[in-house]
Parts: sequence; C-alpha cells; structure tokens
Amino acid sequence: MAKGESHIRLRDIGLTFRLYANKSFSLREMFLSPLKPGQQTSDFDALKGISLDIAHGERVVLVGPNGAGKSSLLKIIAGIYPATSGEMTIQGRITPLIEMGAGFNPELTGRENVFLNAAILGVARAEAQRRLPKIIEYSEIPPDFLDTGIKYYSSGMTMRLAFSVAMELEPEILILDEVFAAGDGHFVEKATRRMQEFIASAHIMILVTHDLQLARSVARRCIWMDHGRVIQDGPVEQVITAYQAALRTPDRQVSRS
Amino acid sequence: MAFLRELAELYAFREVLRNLVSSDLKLRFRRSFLGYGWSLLYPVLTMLILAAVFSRIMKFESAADMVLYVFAGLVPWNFFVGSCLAGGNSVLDNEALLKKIYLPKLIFPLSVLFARFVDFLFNLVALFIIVSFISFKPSWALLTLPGAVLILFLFIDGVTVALAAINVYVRDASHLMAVVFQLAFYLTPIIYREELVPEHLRALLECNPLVHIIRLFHAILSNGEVPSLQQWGLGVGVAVAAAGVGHWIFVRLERNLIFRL
Repeated sequence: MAKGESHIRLRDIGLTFRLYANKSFSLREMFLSPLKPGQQTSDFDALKGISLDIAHGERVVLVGPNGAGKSSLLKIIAGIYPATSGEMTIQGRITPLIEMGAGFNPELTGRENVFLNAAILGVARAEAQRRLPKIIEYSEIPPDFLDTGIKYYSSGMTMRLAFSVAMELEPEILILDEVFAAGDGHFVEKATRRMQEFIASAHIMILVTHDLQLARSVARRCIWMDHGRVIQDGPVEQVITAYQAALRTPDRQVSRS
Repeated sequence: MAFLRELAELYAFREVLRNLVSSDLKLRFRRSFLGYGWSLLYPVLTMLILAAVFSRIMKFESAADMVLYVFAGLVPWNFFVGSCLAGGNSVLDNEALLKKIYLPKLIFPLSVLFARFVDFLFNLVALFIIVSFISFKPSWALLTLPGAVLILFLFIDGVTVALAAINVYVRDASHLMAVVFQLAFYLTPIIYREELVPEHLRALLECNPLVHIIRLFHAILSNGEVPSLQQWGLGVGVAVAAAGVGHWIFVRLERNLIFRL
C-alpha cells in the first residue's frame, strides 16, 4: 500500500451489546445485587464476524433493514464503539458526518461554533481561520447574525452553517450516515452539487442509506447487511437488485424493515 | 502504557480542549453586566455571609485575622467543588456528541478543571488585592505558594476525572455528590480554626485528605510561614495518590463508557 493512501481492514469484527434493564445501575441495585443472582442483563450481538477490506478510492454504500447493524459498523470504524472482538486497522483520518451540527453549542455564536466544530472535526485553528470567510459566504448567514448565539438561528440557518463547515474539510475517510437534508430550496440545490464534489475529494467514502436511488448514484460497491452479518458484498447494481428481490419476498428474514 | 497513550491523545485533540475551556469561560459570564467581576465578587460575598453568621462562634482574634484565614481556605475549596461538580457531570453532559464522533473522553473533565483553575487564579488575585488593604504582611513564604497550588491542582484533577467516569455508571453519584460536598465543607477547617475541634476528634481530621492541602494554604497565606517538611510531604502524598487513583479509575472505566451513556 502506497504512503498517503487510505485503507480500512476489518477482520472478524464482533460487537456485543450488554443490555441492562437500566443502563446504569443505581446504588440500590449495587447493594442488592449480592442478594439477587446477578444483574438483569442480556447480550445482543449487533455485529457478527464482519471481515472487510476497503481500499483507497472506493465508494461504498451500506444497505439493509433497520437494526441490521449498519450504523453500528460505521461507529466501529469511526472509533466511537470499541469492537468486542476482532481486529481493525485503519489508515487515514476519519471524518464522520453522522449528524450535521453535532458539535454545535447553542449558546456560542455562529463564528465561535465554526471554530469549535472545526476543532472537533480535526482542523487546526489557523486553518479554520483561513477558511472562515469562505464558510461564512457559503452558508449565506446574514453578517449581523454571526456574532449572535446560534440558539437564535432558524433551523435552516443552523443547518447551512453546519453544512458549510463540513464542506471545508478535506476528508480522507468520509463516513456518512443517511444524507442530511440541507435546509431550504435553493440551498439544497447548491448543496447537492457541493456534496458531490466533496465526496469526490475523499479517499474513501462509506455511506449508510435507505435511499437505493442515491446508493446507485454515489457508490460502485454495495454491502448488504442483515442481523449483524454481511449478506452480500459486490458491485452496486448486482447487490441492490438482490436486496430488492429479497425485500419483495416476505418469507425471507430480511423483509422486516 | 495506558497513561502515555492518553497523553498522546490529549495532545492530538488539544484544539478541542482549548475550545471547550475558552467557551466555558466565555459563556458563564456572557451578557452579565459584571462579567468576570462575578468570579471575583463571588468569594467576597460568600466570605461576608460566613463572617456575619459565624464570626461570633468561631472565636477569631480579629476581623482582619478571620478574613485572611477564611479566604485562604475558601478559595481553594471553591476550586475543588466547582471542578468536581461540573467536571463530574461533564461526560454525561456531552453524551449526544460522544455518540456521534470519536473524542477522547478525558477532555471533558479536563476542560472543566482548566476553566475552574483560571477562575481560581482570578480569585487568588482578588484575595491578594482585598487582603492587602486590610492587613497583609508580605512574607517569603509566598514564594512557596506555587507548590501548594500545584498540589491542589493534582488532587482536584484526580477527583474530578474519577467522578466523571463513575457518574456514568452510577447515576446516584451526581445527586450524592452535592450532599457529600456540603458535609465535607463543614468537616474541613475553612470557617473555623483546627484548634476549635475537640481533642478526641482531631484524629478524624487527619483522615480528610483535603485538610492536608488546605493546611498548606493556611500556613502560607494566613500565617505567613513556610509549611513544614511533614506538611509538604502529606500534601504531595495525598495529591499524587488522588491523581493516580483517579486516572486509573478513568482508564479502567473509559473503554465501555460509551455503552453506558
């Protein structure tokens, strides 16, 4: 593998959630637990034996019914969840756009939020400073709003600002969970074009979506998941056709969606 | 080693830490007329209330004496409580963010610790200004103040970081904390002199780790003397133990913390 190239390699990744009746135990349970036979827990395997290689330049889409493990897999790759078992090596900086504006603090002003969000997404301050004018221009936020707390922004304005910050990143491994609707009419149009350029600039893109039309248009490889396993992995047309066929056959396990 | 890995990660995410500290400081006093004035005024007002309520009972030789003594204990105490209460909840407060992006969890309690440390330094300056009007005899002992500050910082770091992780697992902890701190305030000689504690209860004071640290501040600021070697030793011991145990707990709990949020 050449230097500067990105790569994702997963070997036999498993993720087990321990389900607690109540996620954190209270003091009462802590004192009572010696009396009762153990805490009320049950294990749930969200991912089972996932092995994948994603090479530099690949555009991958994950499809599958709800609860298939798509988002869990993204979170493992993004480092949010530690895998219960298996091995993972990742080369390249990960830019997770799992939700727009996730790092915004409503109390801070638009300008301050740009810096905070940039830092969270791994952009140095000097770099953020340099890109600030472009971000502001692109977001179309009225200048007198920039130094106002974003809790006073309309949801459209907040979205536009978040989108503009994200689009100034230079992603190596881009992780997208669903595609965010980006505000009002004319902005959506402008954003869609920008988004395509943005995706094109990434070394690797992984997208989770239920929109099969979108899946076909942005990816060449498709991974179909169900019940924590990879069902099929291959060229997007082929996998989506198989997936759709399965969706239409109600007796198959995948049909519950 | 786990500790070195945490440090390297913190360095990689230092911009986030810096941003969190500065927004904490900016936001707390934004839109208030006095702004940072509040961080100076708060200990002064607390002090006045305590003076009004307790001065009779506490048997201080003079008002000036009491101001100096109470201040010397109250300013470190405020740093301790402020950092532990807010820092203890900091990981829980950032649940939504932690579920969407990977960030080292340690930056949340640390950002609170640093922000409260800045407040503490402000308070210390205020203390000097006010006290110099009343009865302040500068002494060489002041040169050892940074040592006491460092000890205090390490101790608070350990407690804050441990609480931040424990609070995620045991939700009762954050409710319990407020009460425990209130109790601890009265169990620590801040508004009364140690000599006021009955002889047979003195040994109990020694069990309170904070006592050993507050003593350093009392010696330096209120008595104008350099603490004894034994006092330094106890202070350092308590602080290093707290920081070590606190970070050990955090590292142990950190890995699965995301599943418990």
